Formats: sequence, C-alpha cells, structure tokens
Amino acid sequence: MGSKHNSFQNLWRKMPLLWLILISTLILSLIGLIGLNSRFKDFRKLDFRKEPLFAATIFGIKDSLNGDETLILPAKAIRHDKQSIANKEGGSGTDQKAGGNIAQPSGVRLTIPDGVNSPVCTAADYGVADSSVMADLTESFNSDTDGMFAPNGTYRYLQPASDDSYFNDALIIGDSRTVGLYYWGGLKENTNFFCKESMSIYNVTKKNLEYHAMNGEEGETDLVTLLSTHSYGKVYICLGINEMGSYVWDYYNAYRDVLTQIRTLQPNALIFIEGNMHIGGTMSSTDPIFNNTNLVQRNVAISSLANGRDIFYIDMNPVLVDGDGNLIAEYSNDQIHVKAEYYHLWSDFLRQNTIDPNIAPK
Amino acid sequence: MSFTDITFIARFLPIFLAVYYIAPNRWRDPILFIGSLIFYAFGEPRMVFMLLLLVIANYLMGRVLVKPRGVMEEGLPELDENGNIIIIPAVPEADHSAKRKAILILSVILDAGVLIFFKAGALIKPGQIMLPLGLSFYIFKMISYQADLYTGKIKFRPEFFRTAVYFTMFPQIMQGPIMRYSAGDFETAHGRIFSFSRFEEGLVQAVLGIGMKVLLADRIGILWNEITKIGYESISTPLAWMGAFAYTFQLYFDFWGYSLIASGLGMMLGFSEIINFDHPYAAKNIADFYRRWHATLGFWFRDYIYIPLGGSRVSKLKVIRNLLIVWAITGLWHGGTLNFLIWGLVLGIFIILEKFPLKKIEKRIPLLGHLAVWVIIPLTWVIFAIPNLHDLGVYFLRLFPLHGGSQIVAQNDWLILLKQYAPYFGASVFLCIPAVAKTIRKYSRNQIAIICFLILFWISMYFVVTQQSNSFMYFSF
Repeated sequence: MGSKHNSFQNLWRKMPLLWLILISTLILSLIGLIGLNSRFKDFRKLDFRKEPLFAATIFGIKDSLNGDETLILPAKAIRHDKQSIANKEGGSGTDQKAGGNIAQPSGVRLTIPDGVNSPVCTAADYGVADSSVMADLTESFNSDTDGMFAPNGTYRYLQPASDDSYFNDALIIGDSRTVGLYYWGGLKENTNFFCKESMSIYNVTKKNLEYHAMNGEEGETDLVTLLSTHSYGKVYICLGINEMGSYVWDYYNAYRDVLTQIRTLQPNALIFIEGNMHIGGTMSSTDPIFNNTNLVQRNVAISSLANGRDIFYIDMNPVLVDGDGNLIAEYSNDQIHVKAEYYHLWSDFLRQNTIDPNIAPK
Repeated sequence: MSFTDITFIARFLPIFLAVYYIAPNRWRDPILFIGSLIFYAFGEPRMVFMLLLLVIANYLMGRVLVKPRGVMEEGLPELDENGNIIIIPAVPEADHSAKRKAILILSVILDAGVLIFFKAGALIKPGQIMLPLGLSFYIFKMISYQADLYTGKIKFRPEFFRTAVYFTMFPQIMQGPIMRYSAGDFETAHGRIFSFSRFEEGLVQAVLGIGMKVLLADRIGILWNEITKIGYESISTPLAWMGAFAYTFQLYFDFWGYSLIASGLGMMLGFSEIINFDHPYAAKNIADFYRRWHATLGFWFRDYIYIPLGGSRVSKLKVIRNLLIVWAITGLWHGGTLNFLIWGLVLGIFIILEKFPLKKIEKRIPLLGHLAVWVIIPLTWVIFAIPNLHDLGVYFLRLFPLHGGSQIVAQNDWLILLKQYAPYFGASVFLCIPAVAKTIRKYSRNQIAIICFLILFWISMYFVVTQQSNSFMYFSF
C-alpha cells in the first residue's frame, strides 16, 4: 500500500504539467457535456468526431465575451447549391443606369415603371447570365415593411452629385470594406463614417464602434447615441460580409429592424442600402460560405427593403466585377477587400448615384 | 493535419500516445511507423503510397550500402586435427566498394530526382502537380541516410522499422527538423529512452511551441496580411518597414514554434531533444545567423554539399564557388520561383563578403554584424515573401522611397497599426533575447512556471478552437 501511494506521488511530481492538463481537460469537458444540455444547446451543431467536448465550453466562453453577437461555428457550413435557372425569366440586361428591362428575381415583388431610370436596383447578374452567380431565388422575401413603401407608387431617380458637398450631411455605416472606403475613398474630408472591421447587422446598434466625423473628430460610440445627437440628411449602410455564416432570413430580419430604428431616429434622412461587394472568383468558387451565390441572395433580400422614395438600394458591383460576377482579380489581394488604389471606383459610384432630396418623387 | 489543429491535439495525439505506451516496447517502432502513415494520410491521402514506396526503396538500397564490418586483420588461432595451434590466414575483404558507390549514386539520383520532379512540376504545371507534404524534408533525410551508411557513420545494418520510423515519424514529417539517423538513438538497443521527466520536458516544449505559434506568430502575421490587402503601392514607408519586421517575426515564431512542438513530441515518444533554432537574432553576423536558423537544414547543406565540394579547405575562388552553389540550392529548396533563387544568392553574397573583405571590419566593430542581422536579414525576408518580382520592386520602393508610390497612401496608416501591434512587436523582441528562453528553461520545473504553462495551454486552446484556420509558413515545401 505504501509503495503504491509513493509511486503515485512520484508520478505527479515527475509529470505535473501532464496531470494538470488531464485534470483541467476533464473538468472543462464535463462542463461542456452538462452545458450542451442547457446553456450551450446551440453548440450541438459542432461535429464532435473532430471537436473535443471542451470545445463547447470554449465556445460558451466566447459567446459570453461577445455579448449579443451571433457566433459562427466551424461545423456544418450553410451550403447553397448552384441553381440552374433555365426555367426562370429574365437574367439579361442589367445595366441599371441605362434602364430598359431589368431581370426581376421572381421572389421580389416590386413594380418599377417601364422605360425610366430605375431608382431601385435589384441585385442580379451583371451582363452574363451565369447561373453560378444567380441567387437561389426560390425563396421569397417579405416586402411588406409597414409604412416604408410608397403607397402611391411614386419614385425618385438616381443622378450624379454636383460635388462632394452632397455628402456633408451623410453618415456612412459599414464593415471593414467601408473602413477601406474611409481611408482610401477620398471622401473623408467631406463626410462622416461609422465603420469598423467585424461590424455586422447584428452588432451595429449594440456595440461601441468607431466614428470619424468630417471635421476630424473621432472616437468610439454606439449608433443609437450617434443618431440621437446628430442630424443626417443621408444614411448609407453596407453590411453583410460578416454575416455570411448566418441564415439569410436572420440577416434580413435584423436588417429590417435596424432600418426601422434608423428611420425612427432620423425621420428625414434618405437611407441608402448598399449591396455588398462581391467576392473574388477563387474564393467564391471553392468556399461553401463565402461565395457570390450566397452573397447575391442576401443582396436580393435587402434590396426588397427599399421603396424608391426614401429608402434606396444601390449596388456598386457593376464597376468592380468581371463578366462572371466575381470581383476583378487585379483589384484585390485577398478576395474580399479591394486594394487601396481601387476604392475610388466605389466612391465615384456613390458620387454618380445620388438622390436629390429637393426633387419630389414622381 | 497540422500540429495546431484541434483534431490533432484532441483526437490523434491522445489516442496515439495511449496505444504507444500501452503496447510493449518491441511494438513501438511499428506503431510509430503506422501511426505516422495515418497522420500523413490525413494530409495527403494519395501521396502516402509514394512515401511508402520511397521508404521501402531507400531501405533496400541502404542494406547494400552498409559499410562492411572489416574482417580480422590477422587470422584467428584454431586447432587442427592433431591439436596443434595454427593461424588461419585472414581472408582479404571482398572489394564491394564499386557496387556500394554505384548504389549510393543510384539512391541519390532517385531521391533527388523525385524532389526535383515535384518542385519543377509544381512550378510548371501548378494545377496538375502539387508538391507533396513534407517531401523536401523527408527526401533530405533519405539522402543523408544513404550517405551516412556509405561513409560508415551509421555503423550497423538498420532494421526496417527503425528506418521507416526515421523517415516518416510524424513529429518531423511535415517540416523537419531534418534529424540524422545517428542522432535518433536508433543504434542503441532500446531505440530511445522512456522516462517521465523526458516526457514532461517534451510536453512543456510542445506547449510553449503551440503558444508561440498561435498567440504570437499567427497574430503578428495578420499585419503582413493587412499590408497585402492594402496593396504594396499604397502603403507608407514606415508601414513598409513595420511590415518587413512583422513578416520577419511571424516567420521566426511560426517555424521556431513548430520546431519546439516537433522536438517536444519527439521527447514525449522517447527521443532526444533536437534544437533547430538557437536564438538566431542574437547572432553576431549573417553567417552566424544561418548556423542558428533552421540549424538542421544548414548542417545538412554543410555536410552533404559544402564539405564534399571541398568546403573551406580549398582555394579562395573555389570557396566562393562552393558558397554560391550551396546558397543557390538552398534558395531553390525553399521555393521554385525566381525570388527564392535571388534570396539564396543575396545571402550567399553577403556571407562571402563577411568571410573575406568584411571580416576584419566586423571584428573591429561587432555592432555592424548585429546591425546586418537586424536590418539586412528582414530585408531578405521581404524577397522571400513576395514571389512576383514586380510587386517586390514596388515594395522595395516603399522601403526606400526614391520615387513612386501612389497618391492614395494614408499618411498615418502605420500609427494606427502600430498601436494595435505594439504588444506583439514587444513580445517578439523580448523572446529574441537568449536570456529569456534560458530563464524559462531553467525554471521550467518550478510550480509557478507549471501553472503559467497550463494557462498558456488553455489560452492557446481557446484560439485553436475558435479560429480553426491555421497553416504553417513552410507548408507547401
């Protein structure tokens, strides 16, 4: 008995780190196991052939550190099958400035008057009816957004701004791509930015994020405070790339809620929903989550929130993508952000596609 | 499967260790061999067959190459029919040397040929031919094995599983260290030493290596990604310099971290420690740096290319030739694109300069040597990092802004990033000081140190689990 006790002590003394790791793993795994039946129910999605039980505990810790943000788990990716749209109409002629017929994804119920510059552009393929770019359009999105729609069917039309002073009373909200626009788009002296890497529609109104005013003032603040203490004539939003791992309906509903909040706090502002910039072809053709099919579906969904009267959908992708709807390879080094020298393409697009609030809808 | 994948840490490794240690000692070589093949198959399901073929081929060729143990120089005394003592005359050793030399040449051609085929193929037909995992490393082990058998450095005819384990052992198959057969305790009867303290020491090293990789290298590496994202033409000069150092530190801690894990895992299996990085940034000049950086590679080139060519024992002109050859091949070993060849030759030229004209200057002003290590080496890493020569030129014009650079440059880009990355730069410089690592080693059995290692382990696990997208720098070699 005595020697057994000694050799156990011996073992502990000789390999303390090993025992500490084993014991702590056991404890965290037990917590994970118990948690999976209660607080960590969401983490049942994890693939436990590859992930240890303590991964659930770790995700639980990350979840509480992140507050209200949606956690993206590594396991089962949301796959979007490439649709063949042989049985769909449209799919051609998408130059929104030239007008003419615009392909209407069948799920979106918006009527645009014929023969006019469309103020509301729905996301579609860009010149080439490539089925790998077209969204999975069998889902329909609810366009009934309570008072956001122009009841009498009148619209405003996009036109170029006369100069950058147009943006003086604008607030541009967005994620890391908008951060790039802030640094290299050439607009920072003439407008205000509320942008940060990792910003998403789920956290935009909940976290303290970075604010850069036109006059050089900057700091961290939350959106509600910002909108309660300032008055803007235009609000631009470009959010979506960080939400690609979440379900498109959740994204759409969250977007709608945020628009409602913005409209309440800024009753007179024009709101511009910006379509999310497409991704580079290399990533789009291989990644189950980050691909343009998935992205276009989201753009289609949020475009239906526009009404052409005081909420507009504008989509800068025609100036940045190639015939397959992929971000032009030379423009980007990481498939997701354009290089600094190409942000002017986006800011020029914004300059070309503005709404004059003084011209009444017709 | 990389060492910082959760599947390796939480599934493969514990299961393997359990099987390895439950099994009796004599089964451990086959278990390690089969386990390593399984490990390899996770990353390269098809190339595992080529690996197996090469293991068998090299083993068979090695059997012929073993240097014959000489027969007695004198005959042995024996008794004849009448009981008288007679001396049996010594039988002269059959002359196998031509056959052995031929097999040596054959084996080197086979091994080097496979390596050159894949490296050239991956360059010329990148879609169809890919460099198999670890090829550059295990081929070098195979060549060293044949050469060491030929010269008699490996004294005894190796047994199959020992050989197979030497070539394929999973702690070393991906990116080395390029251990020598004779350093692997393979020639001792038991093959290695199983002890609790060695296991624990190995575990500590592995934990430190994981922390270094996940918490430092991966983090500071993001800065280089940010710069690439912006586009080299649009970064400010201070940011270009920050980027060079960020890449420098990422490469160092990524590879040093990997090597610590490799050495640690080896120790957990009973092997001796292998030191692949010996505080290179404390080196006194560039030549010294490369004796400390990826030391097993440097020694391989020294023993199997430099010295056979004559090394430093020949005329000055030939030494220069030898150095240029070694460094050209070193560059190409790292990568097939032109920038790697340039990288190797630039280093070769600096080392030649240090050996001849600059030697006395560096002796008189040691600071110059240290400056070379801290300024020239990071600049050479930029050549290493950017395969496209045009982009490389753009980057150097940002480092040394004689002209060019787009008007887009955001003037304070470096300030913002410096604030974010300052702690990582601080930690990097701190860990470059040899005394720091030596102190950690000295106190690694201390109770407080153990608790710190445990905390380090779990913080690393937090990132491993939540990031799940790690990759080592040297991966596609």
